[in-house]
Amino acid sequence: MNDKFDMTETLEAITDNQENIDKSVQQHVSGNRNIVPPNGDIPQSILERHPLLTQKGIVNLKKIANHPDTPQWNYFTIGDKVTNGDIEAVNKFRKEFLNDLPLSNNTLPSNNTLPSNNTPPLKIIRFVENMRTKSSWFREVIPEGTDLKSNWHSIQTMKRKDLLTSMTEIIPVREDYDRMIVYDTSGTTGHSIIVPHHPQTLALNHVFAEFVLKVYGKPFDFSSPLACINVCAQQNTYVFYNVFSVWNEAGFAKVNLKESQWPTGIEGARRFFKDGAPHIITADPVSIGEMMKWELPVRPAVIFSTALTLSKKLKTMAEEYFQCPVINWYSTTETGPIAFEPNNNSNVADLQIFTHDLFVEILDEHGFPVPDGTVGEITVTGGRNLWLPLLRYRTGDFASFSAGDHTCLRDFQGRKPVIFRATDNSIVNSVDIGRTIRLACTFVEHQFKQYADESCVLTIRPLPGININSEVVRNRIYELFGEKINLTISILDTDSDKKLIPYISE
Amino acid sequence: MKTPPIEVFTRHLTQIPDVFLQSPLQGGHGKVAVWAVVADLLFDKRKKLLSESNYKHFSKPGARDKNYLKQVLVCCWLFHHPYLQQHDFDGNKILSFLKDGLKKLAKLVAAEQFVSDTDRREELVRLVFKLLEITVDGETPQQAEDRLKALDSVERDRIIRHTKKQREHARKVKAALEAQRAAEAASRYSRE
Repeated sequence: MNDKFDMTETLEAITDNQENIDKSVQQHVSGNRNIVPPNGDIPQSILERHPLLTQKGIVNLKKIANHPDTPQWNYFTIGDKVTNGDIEAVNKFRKEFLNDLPLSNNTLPSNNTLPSNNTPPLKIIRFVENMRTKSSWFREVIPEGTDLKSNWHSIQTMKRKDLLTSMTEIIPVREDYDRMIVYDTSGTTGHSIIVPHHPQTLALNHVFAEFVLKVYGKPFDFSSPLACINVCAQQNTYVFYNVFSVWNEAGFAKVNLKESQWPTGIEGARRFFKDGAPHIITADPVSIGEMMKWELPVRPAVIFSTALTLSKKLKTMAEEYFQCPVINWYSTTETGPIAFEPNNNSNVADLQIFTHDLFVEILDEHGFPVPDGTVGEITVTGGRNLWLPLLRYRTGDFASFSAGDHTCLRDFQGRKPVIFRATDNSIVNSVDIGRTIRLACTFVEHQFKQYADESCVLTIRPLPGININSEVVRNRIYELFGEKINLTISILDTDSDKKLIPYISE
Repeated sequence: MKTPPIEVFTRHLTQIPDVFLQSPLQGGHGKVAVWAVVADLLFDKRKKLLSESNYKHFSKPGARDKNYLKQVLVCCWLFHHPYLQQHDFDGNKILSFLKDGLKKLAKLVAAEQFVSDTDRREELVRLVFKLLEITVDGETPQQAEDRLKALDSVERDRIIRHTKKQREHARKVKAALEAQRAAEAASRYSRE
């Protein structure tokens, strides 16, 4: 372990280029219970959540559950809901995606099937044509008879607000409504939204992790009891364990680096990680910093840095500490994985787009592509979410394309960290601010700004027809910052076009 | 003067010069200055230049307005038919049609359809006839109204939206979203 680790430096590295996103999580269940089924037949109630669970999976579940240093799990009714049909779909996708791509240069191919100009490839055109027969939204924004190739840019962009107000129209007609699962987005750029997902979609996302392992020359090894750990460092979040059918029932755990949630303390957490020996760790940069602070003795094959942008400084520190690649990973709840940091040791922080089933554009405010080299909004069409087909969806993140190459994102400007100070000088995380505001009111966009004199201004654009009680919001903010904070609350008109940056701190 | 048959006008639409179907000028994008074409069409009838607000209207910067502006160009070509040029139709009425009358159509029908599709050509011609109160020889007003209704893209869209299948889909989606929001979600290996 690195005895000279300095958390101050880590915090600087994080705040240098990260943004805390909010995670609205309510703890529905508390206390430790054991989800591991008894020996013998697997109960039907568990098979409903986990249709392909076998005795092998149970063995792995038991290994996790019976470890003497487990954290205090708070979510027990989890499963991957993956069926044999989903496995077939994953295998087909895996074959197309992994085997058809030349990997000699460790990058995705840059051939003429990929977008080299501003119009989508045939695969995406077909996807949109297909969705036009299934989704009211697609029919509404694409006039009858439109030549998609030549009139692509006249198609109305889909915004976050549309997911909030028109989800029923966007969701395509399918047969398996009972297989819909629902996530809240983190609400980085506004109020959290409900995003429908499909178990198959989540299963397909595993293939992207496999691909990046391959790109980095790492083996595909899920033999350890706990093959993958998702690490968080939050006030409050779900923590649970599971096995993934799509990864041969490899063990998985989501844990939170909050000391009170580890009955045997930080020492216990260290033993849990050491014995688990995860092959993959996924974590946001704040959590990666916390992993170093906790001095977790793990040597995974890779760490995927998700949710926030990973700064070069933190990446270097973490790679040295954990002796493995720490890979910037760009993904949203709405889209799934969009891009990853390629293995090219370049000083330019490009992100390689998963162009296999996504068409990414960089657009100006009017919906036209910006010239190469100019920063614009990352906009996505396609994807693999069976319940949420995306058509020119504005992600709220910004980047540019380098000249003639539309397979890499450059100058990525999304998701930067913002740290605030309470009246007692303690740090207030934007994660907590976002959750607090959402608990107090319903809104489309917000901005929380703290000036150098520590006074704060909260600006909210409510949903049409929703009244906001400023006093309720004010009292919630006082709980975070203390009652002595100088706070001004401003409510915008619902039809205001003013674009709000969610978090600003001077 | 006897009104020529509908087919004369629909044929006129098929003879539209390519330039009318090129991309409208929007900011730094496109080629055809729609406001100039509209100004040219209306100057003879209104004897005045296009106002600043109308200029802005026909220079809409949003990419999503491209189809609307292309429809305006197609209409301008139609209004340039010699029969329509010879008669002293109300320029303000035409301006109002170009500004507001195409709003819904632009969301439903690609401008090119007013050239390439038989029914859409006839629909546009009949809409213009209705606007200018032109009666087709041998057709009663009721017959003209019925024919337009049969071709009406807006009405067709309204019917599609309210089919039983669509209503049933909306109900199932709402029920699934509500039910699943309260239920447990499947686990994923990372957070976004």
